[in-house]
Amino acid sequence: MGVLSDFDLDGLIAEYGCRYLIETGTGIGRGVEEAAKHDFLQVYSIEIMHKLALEVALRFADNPKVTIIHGKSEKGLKEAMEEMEPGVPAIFWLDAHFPGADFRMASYDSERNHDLRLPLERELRLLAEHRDISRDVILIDDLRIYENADYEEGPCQPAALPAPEFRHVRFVDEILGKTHHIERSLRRTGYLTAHPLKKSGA
Amino acid sequence: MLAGLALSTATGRIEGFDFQFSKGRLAADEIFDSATSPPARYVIELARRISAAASSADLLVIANPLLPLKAEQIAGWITGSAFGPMLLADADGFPLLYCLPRAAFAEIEPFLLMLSAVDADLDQRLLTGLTGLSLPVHRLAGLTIGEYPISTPGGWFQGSLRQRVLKLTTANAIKIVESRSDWRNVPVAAYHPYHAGSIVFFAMASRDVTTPLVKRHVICSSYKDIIAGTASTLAPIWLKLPFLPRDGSVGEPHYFVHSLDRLGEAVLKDNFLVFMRYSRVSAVSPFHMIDHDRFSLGESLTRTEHLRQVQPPLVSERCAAPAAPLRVLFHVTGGLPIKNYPLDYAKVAIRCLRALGIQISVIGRPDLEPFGAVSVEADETDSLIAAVREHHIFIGLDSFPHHYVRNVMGWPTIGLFGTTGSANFGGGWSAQYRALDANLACHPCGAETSCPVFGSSECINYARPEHLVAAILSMAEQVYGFAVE
Repeated sequence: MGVLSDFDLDGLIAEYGCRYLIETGTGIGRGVEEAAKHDFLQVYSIEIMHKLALEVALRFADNPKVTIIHGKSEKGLKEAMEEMEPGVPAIFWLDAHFPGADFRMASYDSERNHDLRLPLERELRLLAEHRDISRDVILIDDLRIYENADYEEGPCQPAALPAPEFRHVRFVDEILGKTHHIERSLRRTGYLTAHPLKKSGA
Repeated sequence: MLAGLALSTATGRIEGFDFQFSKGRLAADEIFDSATSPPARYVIELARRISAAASSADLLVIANPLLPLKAEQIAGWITGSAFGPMLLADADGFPLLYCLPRAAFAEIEPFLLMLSAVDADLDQRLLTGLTGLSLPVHRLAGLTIGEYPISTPGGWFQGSLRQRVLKLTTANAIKIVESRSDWRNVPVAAYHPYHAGSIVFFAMASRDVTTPLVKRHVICSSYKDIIAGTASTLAPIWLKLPFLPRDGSVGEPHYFVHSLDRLGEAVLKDNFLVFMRYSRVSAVSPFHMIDHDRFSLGESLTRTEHLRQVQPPLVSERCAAPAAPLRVLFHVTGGLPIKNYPLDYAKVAIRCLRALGIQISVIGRPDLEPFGAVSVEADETDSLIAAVREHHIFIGLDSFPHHYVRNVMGWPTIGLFGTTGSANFGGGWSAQYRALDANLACHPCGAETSCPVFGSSECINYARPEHLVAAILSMAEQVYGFAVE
């Protein structure tokens, strides 16, 4: 699994004017801990597993800049976007697979529903539908689920792989290709990053 | 149990009043038994009732509703002392009596909800701020209440941690009263943030209160869709925390303290917070939860005809499709095995209904498709509403879908009850609603994991499939004119 500290958040804030960080897959709160150290107006983290969501939410209950949303990622993203000031750039840190799997609360292939197991495409389409994402930074974890490459932490477990017809990230190019510079990284389990072609205020 | 005195300082007359928690009749000497009311709500109710009965009195003495006190006993404590506003406490400061001018009770009524009923010094400070009166606390040297019990046969389960919750809300109220000259304009906010079914009851109750003590509702933000659908009259204060789990892994007082952190100073400064989560075992009271909540919010409910159960529903709708083919939607999965409608019962009911040509859908149960049902997804309120509208009758357990469909949508509904009380959570029998259970000797046990008698994971109190099928056919005939060919 990837970690948010692999990214230069201060640099992204300075370069693209990102003032929000929205994470899907709270897990045990490592991403929230990292994000809370930086100068965001608000950090939203969305977790479908109630136990994980509550544990982290109680830990950060006294930090008004952190909001943990329990629920499916789409519902959580909508809730976060409703609260965010329109036009203010954000960093979206998206988990590519069924939540809980990184924390021994479910296996990578435990969710039979494809949409729930691999929500990334629907999440990106939802973002594009609900806001102007041309100035947002999109960081996607676990690229190895979608593409073969020589990743630092090795290939994806076969059981967690989607059916071949779903194993691609063409939708990322389709949604972000015209507005973002898309890069792949082999670090850990693979990252796909999309940086805006135009910077804040440009 | 619930007692008070009316005093006339001019004549020295003392009149005693004793009440009991109602077991259903709501007789003149009974007070509605509400599981969601804090102890202070009964202080208000006692003051209302005694004040109405003793119009010439100028002082009212209200006994602490947490304690089993009788008018005769408290009169003995009062007699011999100079009449005047004061608090009487035990040797350790546990409040026994609140003595205030009769008019004061009415003038500050909503703010009395913030009395702790467990700490005389805090309550004295709050009442002093609210009334401007000098209120001494007299202590009975020879009496010590000791630690209030965790549970009582009557169902109180305040416990020491819950006492701290009550003290925290009182302390917050004191801060407001002592720091804001405009405290009378500060609204009272009910802390009742979860769970989904309880939110439905609370919201529907808010629409049905003529004398509201509460204006706002602290509620988990994940329930926004429920509040939007229920048209609650209480302004929401969104609590951005996941709801409290039901497995006991996080204690309610512990969660409450984190809630205060989460709500932040601004909310605490601008709202009198009152704890309106369950403070008693709801099954001890024979009334429906909507009425429990109506009482909490300020309704006195002194006569049985005031009860929501005996009045027409606030909302009543039905399916517009032709009666045939009859379509029935089941929700038989309660989250925990003991709350599920037994699998064998469900299979038999579905097969029988299918044999009669009735179309059956089941929420989230593909395993029941081999028996003739169609599994449908309805895990959000919107999808639940959409699914219900495609069916003539809804069959639900004691959980959110049932409560929403019955109370908010007003749809023809049959409620299935196993471990919990149908009177509390279902209630009533009408053309558009039936509450079914087997009414066994163990019912309602309130178990959340397994049967406390047999240890099994299924509850045998659920209505047998033949009774369920009969109820469906009866309702279909009454509401839609449906007849089996």
